[in-house]
Amino acid sequence: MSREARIMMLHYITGLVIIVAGAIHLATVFLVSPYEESLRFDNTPWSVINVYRNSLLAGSLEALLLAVAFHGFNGLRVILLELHQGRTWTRAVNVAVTVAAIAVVINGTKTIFIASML
Amino acid sequence: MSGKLQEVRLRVYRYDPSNGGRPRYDIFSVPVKKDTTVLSALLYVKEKLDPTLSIRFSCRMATCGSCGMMINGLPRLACYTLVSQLKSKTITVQPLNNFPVVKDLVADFTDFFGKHRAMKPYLLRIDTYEQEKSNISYRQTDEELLKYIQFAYCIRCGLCYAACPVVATDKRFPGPQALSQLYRYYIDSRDEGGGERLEVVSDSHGVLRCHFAGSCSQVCPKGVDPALAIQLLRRELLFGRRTG
Amino acid sequence: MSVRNPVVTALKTWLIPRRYGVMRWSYSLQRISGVAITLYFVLHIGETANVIGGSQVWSIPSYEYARQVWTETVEFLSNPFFDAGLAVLAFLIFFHTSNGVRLFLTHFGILLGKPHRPEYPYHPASMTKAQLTIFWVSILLAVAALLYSLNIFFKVILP
Ligand code: SF4
Ligand code: FES
Repeated sequence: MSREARIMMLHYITGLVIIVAGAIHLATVFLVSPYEESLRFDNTPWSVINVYRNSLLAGSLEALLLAVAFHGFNGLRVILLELHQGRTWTRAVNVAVTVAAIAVVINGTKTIFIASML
Repeated sequence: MSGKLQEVRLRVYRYDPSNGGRPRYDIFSVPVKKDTTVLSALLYVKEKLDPTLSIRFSCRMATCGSCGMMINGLPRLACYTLVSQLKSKTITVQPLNNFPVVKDLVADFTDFFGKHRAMKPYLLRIDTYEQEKSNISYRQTDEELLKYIQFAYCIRCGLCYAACPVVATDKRFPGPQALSQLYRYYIDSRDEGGGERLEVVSDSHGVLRCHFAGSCSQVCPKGVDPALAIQLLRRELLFGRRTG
Repeated sequence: MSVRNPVVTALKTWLIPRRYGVMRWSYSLQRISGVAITLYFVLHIGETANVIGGSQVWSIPSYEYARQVWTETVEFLSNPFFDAGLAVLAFLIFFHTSNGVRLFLTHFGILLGKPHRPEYPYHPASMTKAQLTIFWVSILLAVAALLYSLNIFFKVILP
């Protein structure tokens, strides 16, 4: 399988991960408790800090973070590569997209990690 | 009824590179009958009104694939499109989208044919001597034929290429015509190209860039359904059933 | 050939799906929603970093500080413009997900018709009823998500 084919395989797999982890995320925010209550910092069962302290939910958030970062930025890469062709452009797009994805993942992981210990 | 003449306005894209190169639109009034095709309307213009109009055509029966153009915004064969079927008083004709223009309605097919050629659109056999010199024939069952015969109907008219939103911006994307022809040979039971055939289109501007907008299959005048061939080709690339 | 600006060509082909049928609309919507969701995702990660006091915080902050920053963030974000934006985003997310399932299946050769001898009038076998159904279900789901979130944010339908 070519490199691009492997990337697209991961695109499909992350898509499936997003369906599951995204459903869990939406359920904790909208379904299991009223929206306003899930936005509170603490004091409600599904408040922000309680979600992060639940290691299963925090793990699912981390999975969602990784999957969306890959799926979204890979989509962006595909669109940008279709916009213009050329060696420099391809390299610039690849680097920019990778750096941006890693930055977002670091920022999000840090949030999940620290919030779970608060 | 079919003898009754009606007037239709033909709005024709004009472009002459030797003439400053500024595109413009000319409007001609053309008498048409119920069975007048856009091609015959254009030929009327060329014969009676403006002999400098450039068009390309040959067979007049949707077989040679040379009269493709944008007719009222959609890529169509001029010889295969009736003026009456368009149901509009003004008909706009432009050269095919996604192709450079040579002059007026004539599009430059160099890239298009180059991409087709890159797919090696012929049977590849390991034993070339047998293929060239012997007179044995390759047998094929009906099922094996059905796997590719639809895609073999392609007349290389380029309508699908003009409709494709990926071709519009990605110069390196082979386009629906080339990709469906690749699949047509790849899946042919007589072909021995196998997995190596896929390598030409496995990079980041290959078959994986198809987003299945399906426009190619919408406009194909021969019912080839290139989008179907491309999805099947992608599956082969992702799961590599046949290799080597 | 009159030289066209590549960005203009790109935007035209991506954003104007006219004339080529339903699947072209699905292509444009999928692309627009994908970009919009990715943008939102980046902002959302930045915004939820305020749970720990902000993106610039690298160690465990005091509980009270984090609590205060988050409460201020929620107050800042609870205005009708952001809410309306979220409702549109709900539409895009549900469309992208459900239509994405259709693309996932078709890219793997599922839900497609079989190659056959073309006979006039042509019906592309690549476009099956099942796929059209998924497309329209995606639109329905997206509209439902839009209405649901509008109702949550603005209490317009049910009190
Ligand atoms: S696939 Fe159809 S539209 Fe495309 S070049 Fe062949 S005949 Fe023309
Ligand atoms: S003239 Fe040959 S296809 Fe139209």
